[in-house]
Amino acid sequence: MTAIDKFMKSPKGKSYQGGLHVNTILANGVSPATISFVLLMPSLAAIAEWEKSLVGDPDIAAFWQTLEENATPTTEFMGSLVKSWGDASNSDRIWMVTNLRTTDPMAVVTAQDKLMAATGDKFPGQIGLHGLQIGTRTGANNDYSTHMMAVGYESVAEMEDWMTYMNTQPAWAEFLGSLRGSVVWQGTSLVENTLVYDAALDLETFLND
Amino acid sequence: MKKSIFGLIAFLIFSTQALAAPSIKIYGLQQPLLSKHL
Repeated sequence: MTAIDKFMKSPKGKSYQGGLHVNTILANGVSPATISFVLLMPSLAAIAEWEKSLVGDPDIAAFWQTLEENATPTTEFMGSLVKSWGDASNSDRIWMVTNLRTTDPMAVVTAQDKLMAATGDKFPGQIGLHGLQIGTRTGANNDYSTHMMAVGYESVAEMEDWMTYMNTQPAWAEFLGSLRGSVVWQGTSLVENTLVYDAALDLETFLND
Repeated sequence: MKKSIFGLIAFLIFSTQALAAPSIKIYGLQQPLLSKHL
């Protein structure tokens, strides 16, 4: 965390035009990952350009070195936002992240639209459905993800209350039932934003622009 | 005819701009458990 902060305050770090979330993973099933870095940028091309600009840079080299001494890379995914629901809020720091494999992305969007129509007036959080076009292998039984659903809450308590409520709702059963033939759910992680660098691009702008 | 060509050009420009969606890259890392919260 100290190393990332040092990098973000370096000349190269200050030139970064996206958002950066440094996450502590609270639970994630069989994956060995304990932390994650999430880059948020306007496009996949912008991410590629940023990474290209890091080659040979001394600030990032110092950060990579610290990282190499203290952590082992496990996964890399790239994807793009398909649709978001709920109120985009920079205050949400707790995320339930579910990977899924679907043969019908629009069925997922339609089912989520329907679920929001039935329960959205009480929903306290926000949802982002991302298409995972790159780095799709999950490592579990040679499986792969096509999408990722990230549901954000202000606190674990808020999430807990909502999940308790949802489990009593027929609309939740309808949502799950309607996707039985077209979605394989691949497990859910719980992550917390430990550090957020959003001076150049915050979550609300990322989702709404 | 002219109108429809201009309409098509406008549509193509708009749809090209709309193609880039907000995007993410996620790096997963494993740290020794004792340093997880450091």
